[in-house]
Amino acid sequence: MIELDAVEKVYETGRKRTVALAGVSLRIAPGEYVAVMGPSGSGKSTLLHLAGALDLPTAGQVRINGRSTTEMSDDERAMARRMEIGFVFQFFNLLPTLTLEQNVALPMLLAGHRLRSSRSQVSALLERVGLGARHSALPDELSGGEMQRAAIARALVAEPEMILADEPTGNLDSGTGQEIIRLFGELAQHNGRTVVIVTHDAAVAAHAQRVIRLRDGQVESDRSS
Amino acid sequence: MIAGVTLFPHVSWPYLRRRKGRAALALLSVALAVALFAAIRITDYSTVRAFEQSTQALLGAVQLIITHGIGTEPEALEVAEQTPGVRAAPVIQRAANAAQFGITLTVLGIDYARDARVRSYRAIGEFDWTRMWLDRRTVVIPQALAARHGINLGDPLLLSADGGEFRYTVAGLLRDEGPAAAMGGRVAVMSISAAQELFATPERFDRVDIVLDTPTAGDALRARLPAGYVLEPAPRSSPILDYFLAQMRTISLAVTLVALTIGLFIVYNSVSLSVTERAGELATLRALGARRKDVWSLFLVEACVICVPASVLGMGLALLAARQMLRQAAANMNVMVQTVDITRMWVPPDAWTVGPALGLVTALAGTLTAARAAARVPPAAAGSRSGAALLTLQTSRLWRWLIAAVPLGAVSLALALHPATPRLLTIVGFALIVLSLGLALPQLMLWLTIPLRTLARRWLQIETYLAFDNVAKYPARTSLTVVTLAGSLSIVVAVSGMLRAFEQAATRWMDDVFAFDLSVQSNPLTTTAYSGTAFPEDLIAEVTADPRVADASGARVVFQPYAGRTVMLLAIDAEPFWGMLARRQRISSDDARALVSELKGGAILVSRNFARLYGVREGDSVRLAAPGGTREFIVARITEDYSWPLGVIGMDREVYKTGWHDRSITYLDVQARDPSQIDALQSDLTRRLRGRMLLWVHKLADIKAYGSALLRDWFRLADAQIGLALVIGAVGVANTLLISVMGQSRQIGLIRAVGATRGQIQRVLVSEALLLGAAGAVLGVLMGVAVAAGLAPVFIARESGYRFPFVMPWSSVGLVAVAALVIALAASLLPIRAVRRFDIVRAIAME
Repeated sequence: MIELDAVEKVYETGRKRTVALAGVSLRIAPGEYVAVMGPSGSGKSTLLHLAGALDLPTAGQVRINGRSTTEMSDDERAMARRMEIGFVFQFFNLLPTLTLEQNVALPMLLAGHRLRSSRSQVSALLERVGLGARHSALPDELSGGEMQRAAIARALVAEPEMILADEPTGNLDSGTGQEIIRLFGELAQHNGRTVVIVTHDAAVAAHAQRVIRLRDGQVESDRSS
Repeated sequence: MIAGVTLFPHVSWPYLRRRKGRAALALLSVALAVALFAAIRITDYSTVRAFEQSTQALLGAVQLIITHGIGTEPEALEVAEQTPGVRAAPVIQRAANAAQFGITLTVLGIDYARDARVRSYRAIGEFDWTRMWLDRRTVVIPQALAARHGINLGDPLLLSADGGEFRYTVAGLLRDEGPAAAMGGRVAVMSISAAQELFATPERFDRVDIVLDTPTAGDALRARLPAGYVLEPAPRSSPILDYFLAQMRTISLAVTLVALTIGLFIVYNSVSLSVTERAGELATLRALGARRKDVWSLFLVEACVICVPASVLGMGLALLAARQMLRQAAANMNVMVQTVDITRMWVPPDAWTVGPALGLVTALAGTLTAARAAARVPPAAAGSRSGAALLTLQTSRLWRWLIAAVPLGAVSLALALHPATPRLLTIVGFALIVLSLGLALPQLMLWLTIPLRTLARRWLQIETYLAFDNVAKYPARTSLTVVTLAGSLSIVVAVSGMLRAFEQAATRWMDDVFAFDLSVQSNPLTTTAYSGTAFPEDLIAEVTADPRVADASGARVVFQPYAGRTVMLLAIDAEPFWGMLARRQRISSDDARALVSELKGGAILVSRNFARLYGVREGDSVRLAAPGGTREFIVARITEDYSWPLGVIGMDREVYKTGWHDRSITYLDVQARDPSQIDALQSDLTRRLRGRMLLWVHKLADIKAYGSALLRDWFRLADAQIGLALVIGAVGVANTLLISVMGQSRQIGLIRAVGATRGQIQRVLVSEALLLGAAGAVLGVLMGVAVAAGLAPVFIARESGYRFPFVMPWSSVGLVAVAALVIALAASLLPIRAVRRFDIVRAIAME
């Protein structure tokens, strides 16, 4: 479960003060499929970063499964990202010199597991995202859609409860984007995972159970379908 | 260039301010290279100036000197005084021990009435110089010397030399100027007759100093002088000092050039990353109409701007380092030559100009390639914040570097190894070899890392793999860093390898030819090795009379001009010397007898380095200048001897006495009948001899230890440079790691986002540092061994004729391994700090 309680996030660059989030409170229950929408600069990505323990709020509390990220140590936040949260980024963020298999296994490798011990799990995930035959390919050899599917497999490898995705279709053509969205839908519906997707695309949001709209760092609307 | 200057405040300056750490590292590397050059130049210049000032102070207005082999007869003075337009003054100038103060003084024996016409002495208060002439037991000393040792007027001053030990009274004090300021003020002036007594040279002077009042007087004097006398310009330098300075300069120059090359690599690394980081910004400039040459000039202006504070810092560091190096140089020179105070630091004008100019050249050369890449950033890349494409471009061109490196390396190697190459070019050859290695290594590394990366991906832990990946991903940056570190470390291995080789050869030689147990010397093993005072030969008989003494052999050491250099003439009592060796079974009795017979017959021995330097073989004849005229000697044997780097000539002392009219000895070697009596003999001899003159009785082990210490001290001069070179190496690794963090922030951000802890990222960096350190250590050892075993011996053989078998300096290899580890870990501190402040969100947002 993710809870945001009166969260504020302010970026200060020199004398310039930018308020990204201004008192946002919300609760995302386990198994929910949530789309976060809003215009550029509305605070969508900031919200996702705070919810994923990538960043800390300037004020207020962000709780992941009841634990406040502010009160966690840096290592505890890293552990939360590794085991409880799976991230999918707009630009895939695969390591270019690792094979697909190794990229997917990265969270497990960081946890000290040998690739050998995670191999069956990784293979199953690659099969599931349709990349079973490409496990030894390098990212450069993949298409955008394949890379994003690999990134989703990586987000799932540690079997996290929550998947957070930042514009996962933003860099893909519409056909491939649809494919990825279908994959997220399956994760939410059949695996009971919490999925939070930041998107500009109404078609993507249409698949979500709940749509949160942000404007100027505040929740403008929060509707469940 | 104008565009670069115009754009600099708006484009470069904000970037440099943002990347303070990296700009500081590039600045520091240039500053250190400037510092090394300038410190060495200042040390060299100050040493020469100190010596010149000292000589100038001693010589005063003297233009010419008359010599006659060793010493001059009074007839030369008479002839000079009878020549119109000539002012002449006889001088005895030698070292004497003032044991009560633990110092060696340069004694000036003068005839004041004559000397006052060529030199100026200014006494404190009223001093009647005739008193010194009337009383042979009076001396005059400089005011500063008296103050330093608490000597007052009327105090006694004990001096000992060839003639024995004498007690003088300090009758006057001199102002610290003119001759009183020479040799760091460690001077005692006495009448010439007193000096003749002290140095046992009755009726002889060391030289006659000449001042000419008319330009033609010199020719007139030369025409009048009897045969055998030499009228020559007053020496303003010492050939021995010149030799040692040349050696010091060689080591220093080699270290400086390597440091400059290393500095160049560091600058290249920094600028190439800055180009990568600013690719988007540069593309925007290009999109807005900036021409390639504008971008190019922008980077060159940056290099120039960095050079200004780097030069200021470099010169500041140079002044600090030079102070330390001068102390070491002074100690070395005084051991080798004579007592000269090098307390004052003179900064030659060229240090202020050439130092910064070298820094500028280094910075510009390091910038050129990266600036060229910057100028090629396509305008279409505007808006992109990543320079990955640019890096690929650079990597794809590495083979060109390799192609350039092969002929460069071959020519440099040929240049360094060719026997006819002048010293400076040999050193330049060394530096160019390092440069070609730096050029060749990136492509070699690229080829090597492709298969290695596949293996590492399969077998290494993720942190170690990522470290390996970082190292392998940017072969140019990595290999230049490895060469940087290796270059610094190789100096340690090379210097140590040469030292060990020399030490081992010299130790073996000492073991072979030192058959004595005790040696009586006027040198307490703390002052000069090559200019100790001599003492009378009567001592030989006295020592031999002791029933515990098996044999005693006297030796006279003098320096002799030969073939434009200064060689050592070692006159030994051949019979007891080889008798001692035969008794200790170092040579067969028959061999010893044959050698003694040859030497007594007037033949000579020459050292192996002498034979190599002057192309002399057994049976050849060697002509030597002696007081009675030039003498010819047949070379009986060529022997191993490491006493003097410009060659040693050995002859029987009876032959020397006849030819050089010198009966004194420099040391006396004693062999005990029973080794168990050595200690007792040492203390008895010390007691007996010290009662009459200032002599020390040393054990063989102490002399050997002293020899080794001298050698180490000499090489220690390079310590300051090596220290600076290691700092440069550390700066190089720190620079690369920092670049690694900054250049891969996106990757680090991603790994952090998927759950890597700070500790894991730090482990990646430490592993990367250790990988660089290990590679640097391995290459450093290889380069050091190549220099010590391959290049340096050629150079040393050419300079001194010495050839040593290579000795692997294992202790230095261990030291280098530890140093590489420490440097790598220390260098990783800065990037680790950067990781602590790492912003994951910002990093993953980059594209």
